[in-house]
Parts: sequence; C-alpha cells; structure tokens
Amino acid sequence: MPILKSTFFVLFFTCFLGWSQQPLSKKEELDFLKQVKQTSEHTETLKGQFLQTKQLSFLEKSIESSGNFYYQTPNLVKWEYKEPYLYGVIFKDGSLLINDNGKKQDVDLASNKLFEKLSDLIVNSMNGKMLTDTDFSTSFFTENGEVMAILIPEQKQLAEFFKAIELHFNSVTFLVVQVKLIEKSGDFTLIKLQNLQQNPSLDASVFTH
Amino acid sequence: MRRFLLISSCFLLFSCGLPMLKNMEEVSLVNAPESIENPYFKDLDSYIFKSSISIYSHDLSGILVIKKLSNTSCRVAFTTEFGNTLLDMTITPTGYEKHFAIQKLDRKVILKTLAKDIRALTANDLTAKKAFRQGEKEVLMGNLNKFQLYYFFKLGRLKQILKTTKNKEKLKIQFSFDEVGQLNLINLAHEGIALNIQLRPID
Repeated sequence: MPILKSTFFVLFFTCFLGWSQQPLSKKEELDFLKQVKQTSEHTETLKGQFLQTKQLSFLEKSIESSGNFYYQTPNLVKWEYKEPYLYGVIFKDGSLLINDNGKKQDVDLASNKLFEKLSDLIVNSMNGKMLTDTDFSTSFFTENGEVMAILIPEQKQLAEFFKAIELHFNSVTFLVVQVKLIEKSGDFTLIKLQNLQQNPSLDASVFTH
Repeated sequence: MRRFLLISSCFLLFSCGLPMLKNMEEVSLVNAPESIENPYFKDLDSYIFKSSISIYSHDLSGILVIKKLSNTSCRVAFTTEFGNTLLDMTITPTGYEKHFAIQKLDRKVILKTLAKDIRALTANDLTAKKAFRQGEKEVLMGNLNKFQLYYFFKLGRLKQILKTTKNKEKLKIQFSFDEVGQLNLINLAHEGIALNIQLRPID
C-alpha cells in the first residue's frame, strides 16, 4: 500500500510538473515577442541586484555570489560582484573593463571570444534581442505564469560553452528575471535578477572604469 | 671529534644544496612526525578560491574549485566569475583525466602543469623522509612522484611548500594570513617559467 501511495504521488507530481510547462502557441509567441520589444523600446536604463548560483555535478553544495547590475541602452552593462568577493566588469565600446578588487584591466573583446559572447548574451538578454537572434534555435513555454524561452546555440563557438540558455520573463513587466546557462556537461549557472528598476537615472560614473 | 666533524660537514653539505635550507641543520627523524600534515588540505572536502593566473604577462582570473578525493588526487574545475566552466579535470596521483577544457586551455603543457601544481598544493600525509631545524623553524621533506616537497613550518604553522628536483627549486607555494590568523592567500610561483597563481579562499 505505501508503494502504491508513493507511486501515485510520483505520478501526480510528474504530471503536474509536465503540465506546468506548456509551449506557447504561434499567436501567443508573436504577442509575447511584441510585448518584449515594446518593453525594450521603453527601457533606457535598468538596475537591480543579481544572485548567481553555480552548480557543478561533483560538488554537493552550490557556489553563490551576488551583487549589482546596471544597464544603459544600447549596449552598456556593468556587472558588479559584492559577495563573496569584489569584482566588477563593464562592457563598453567593444571592451571589457575589469576591476578585480582594485586591480584594473582592459580586455579587447575581439581578442576574447568567450567574453565577447558573454557581453552579447548579457546585453541581448536585457533588451530581449536574444529571442530573435538567429544564432539560436528558440522555443517558448509558460511556466508558473512566467514565459520561459529556451535557446539552443546553433553557432559552434557558443555551443562550446553552452548546451542551452533559459530565460525567464516577468509576466507583467516583460523584463528578464532569471537566466540559466546550461553547459554541455549539464552543470549550470543560474542568475536571478531582483529588485529590478526600470529607467532609473544612472550617474555617468557608474560606467566609468 | 673527527667523526663529529665529518657528520656535521655532511649535514652542512646536504643542507646547503638548496638555498632555502641554508643555515638549517638536518636533524634525526626520530623526534619528527612520521607523516607530513598539510593543514589546509587535510580533509577530503571541497575548497573554493577566487584565483588569478598570470602567465607571461597574460592575466586570467576566475574561480578554482578543488574537491579532494584522496591524499594525492582531486577533482578540479576552473570557471569564470560568471560561472562558465573553462576547465574540469580529475588529478590522479601520477597524471590527470580531462573532462572538459575550452580550446584555449586545452594544451597538454597547461593541463599537465596545473595538475602537478595542484597535486603539490593539496598533497597530504606524505611520509617524512628528512627533517631540518633552526630555532622556531622546522622543515619536513617528503617525496611526491619524482619530486621532493619541503614543508616549512614556523612555530608549528605551515608557511611554505617548496617543490624541488634533487637540487633545483621548481615551485614555491607560500601561505599568507590575515590579522586573525586565517589563511587568506596562497601564492604559487614557478622557477624558470613566468607562471604565477594566486588563490584566495572564498568559502
């Protein structure tokens, strides 16, 4: 009897989880993309906090870090780790400006493909352009009231780093609230964006190295 | 007296082979511990570091994760601060097994050097083969594959590990501490190659 009971629960929750993720119809998808585009067009700046969790298959615990981020259209991003270490990066004019606990360094993105792709990824997740990027094959689902886009890299360079990228959007603001970068091994990095402020005034010094 | 001079000059000869052992006197192992404890990596646990690697004036930073599997083996992953895995390998007692490496790092010389460095850093419980002493300093030597590892203790605290061949320094690992005595920096410097690795515990 207990076995029957647990089987029932497993089946119930499997079905529940299966049902909770539904693909969007073509019309829903077009409506959603339109909404994201509108949000992006009305977003000059963004700021908020992020909580990053890295999961490695061989590690029992996950590695957590957190900090602040700032975005200014069209392609200025600052990603600033506060915990457990101080590390800031600014993606600006084809360069990556790193401040590693006071040690400053400029990296030419053209010479560093990984960071160039990361820069595109962060900027295009913020402005929603990733959803129509032909470097990915993209499918859309709803999950717990949020729209989730699953992007599979088609380009070889990106596929070296990621098996898939999941973006979660807030159903009211249509802003990205969660990014999951899944590697070929199944290990992943989950980034949750919190306390998002749309169009705050950002001082120019935010993006100064 | 002649025998004493002979023994003393032998000790002097051996102890002068490596500059780091200059002025140190080799002592009997009778009073030394049988095995050498590396207090920072003695547990089969996970260790996480913010790391900076500088190789021939190129800087690379990221997160280094070490999970110890035995006294001389471990699983290691190196990721960017953003979490992207750049390297994932298992370091075995004498070699390594690569699970993943981005193209730029996927070179035998890089993987082999990293494996050797991390094995030397994390090795624990090596049998003590020699002991040296000078005042509050004590040095214990053990063998790891074809190398010697000299563990420098001061007032019982491990301050440095020196990896050598018979008479040449290969790698110097230094441990630094904050004002309350917590380990806050490990510096690995190579002799002969401009390769320097700095690790700051973040766990």
